[in-house]
Amino acid sequence: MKGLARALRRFDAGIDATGDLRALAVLRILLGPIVLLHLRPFLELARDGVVYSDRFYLPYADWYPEVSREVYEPMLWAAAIAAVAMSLGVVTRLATAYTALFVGYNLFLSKTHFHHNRAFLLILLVTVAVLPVGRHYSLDALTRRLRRRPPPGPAPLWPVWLVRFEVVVVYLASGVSKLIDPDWWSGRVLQLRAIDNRQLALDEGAPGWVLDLLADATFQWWFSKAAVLTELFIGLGLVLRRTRLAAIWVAIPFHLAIQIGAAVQVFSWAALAALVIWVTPSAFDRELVVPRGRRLARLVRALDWFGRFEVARDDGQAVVLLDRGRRREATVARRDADAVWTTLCRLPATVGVAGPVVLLRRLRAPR
Amino acid sequence: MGRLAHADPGGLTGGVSEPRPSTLRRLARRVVIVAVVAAQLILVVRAYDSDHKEFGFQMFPESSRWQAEIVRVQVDGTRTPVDDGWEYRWSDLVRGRGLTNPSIDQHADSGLRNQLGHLQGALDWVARNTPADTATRYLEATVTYTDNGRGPFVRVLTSADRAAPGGQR
Repeated sequence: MKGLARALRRFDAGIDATGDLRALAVLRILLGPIVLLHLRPFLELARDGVVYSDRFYLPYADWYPEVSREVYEPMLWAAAIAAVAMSLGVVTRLATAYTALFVGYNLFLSKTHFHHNRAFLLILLVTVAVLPVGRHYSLDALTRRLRRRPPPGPAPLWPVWLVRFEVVVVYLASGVSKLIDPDWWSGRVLQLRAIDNRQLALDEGAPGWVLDLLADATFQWWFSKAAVLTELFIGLGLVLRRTRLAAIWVAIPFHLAIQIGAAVQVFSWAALAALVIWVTPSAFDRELVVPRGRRLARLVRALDWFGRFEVARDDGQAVVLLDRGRRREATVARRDADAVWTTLCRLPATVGVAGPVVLLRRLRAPR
Repeated sequence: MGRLAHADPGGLTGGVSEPRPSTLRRLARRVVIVAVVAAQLILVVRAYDSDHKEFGFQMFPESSRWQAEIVRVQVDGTRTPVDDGWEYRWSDLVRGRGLTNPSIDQHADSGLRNQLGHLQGALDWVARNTPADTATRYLEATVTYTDNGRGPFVRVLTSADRAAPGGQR
């Protein structure tokens, strides 16, 4: 009981915690093009003078407000403009709020508009709408600096915890539904899909032996289990700090494979973008000391989009990575190659390569 | 405790600290978190008995297939395919969600329940939104489907009766 009470107290304190939102600013930038991709079919129809209500649609409720064509079309185009403004960080609070509001409004106009990837996108948009994500990497932030305003402070983190919960739910709900479905678990669902799509895949140039393998019952018996367990691993792995890096690294090829093998609209891109929410929301909590003359310092400064590292140069020979504690006291965390790989593992552009290297090094390290 | 400067743990962000949130704001945050978590979990459970599984995140649930022959049943009982001699074209009225060409055998994209739910909705919508057609009493779809390779099974869906009050608008 004491342990539970302690956990609850920690959880309660975490709700009011504040931190750095650079990672969420990166998410904001990535969401702009994803929203445009999502709105594209609606925009193309609108360009041809067609809106959703001209054809079959299925309202959720009679009381849900439906605007006229004369209002809907400008609202739709305004959402596209807002998505661009959101990415650029121009009047960011307004742009993020309007984008989220319109995507949500449009989603609930008709049951035919509903797709899981759109619901997921909406969750991400609401998150960036309720947080001050324009404080970094935005034209708003640039204007603020030019006007010599003080740098922004930490922001409340509870929406970050909430969106992390949502992302975990997406993986677990999807994984569990397949785990308890005998047709999925046995490989029947994927095998039938592979057989159904065989001709289409052949026409698109897929190798015949790969398609034969995908249509094989024994292969799919194993492959389906691997797919379901991968989804569950990502969901559970993201929760724990120790397994988070591995989960992120597994999630990247997992979503890329889905994007190649299935038509999932914007899901893959939204899920890949959403991985940034797992970045620790504290800036410059690590110091990287690099010997003078090495390019590593410049590389880390250029690629440290989440603002995790303060890079210093000195006359020594070793690369040293220092962890900063709550009172900014520094302790040596890693040295030399270990420091370099750990640093590269925390940079979004290099995590794909550095992630497995760090995992292997840790597995091989003496306990 | 007043709205004093809220301690940024370790000063890690290096900026100006947010003021400490008021009691009301702290309470509101907890209410929002509990409400969102509860609603999300309810939606996940609800999805197991729902046509469209909104926010249930059961992605790529089936490899079921379906096709439907849709006819207009006229007042005198005559059954005419929607592709024959009608003032309207089905594919102009109904687009997307696999419903544009229902006579073609195709994958039930988000599962059979979802697909049949949309088809039922489409039948009702078309019946209500074809005012130039005064001969049709209702639309009927004979759906042939396989459930993850099992079957085929046949199911008949009908639109609301256009002669009934509210059947057409």
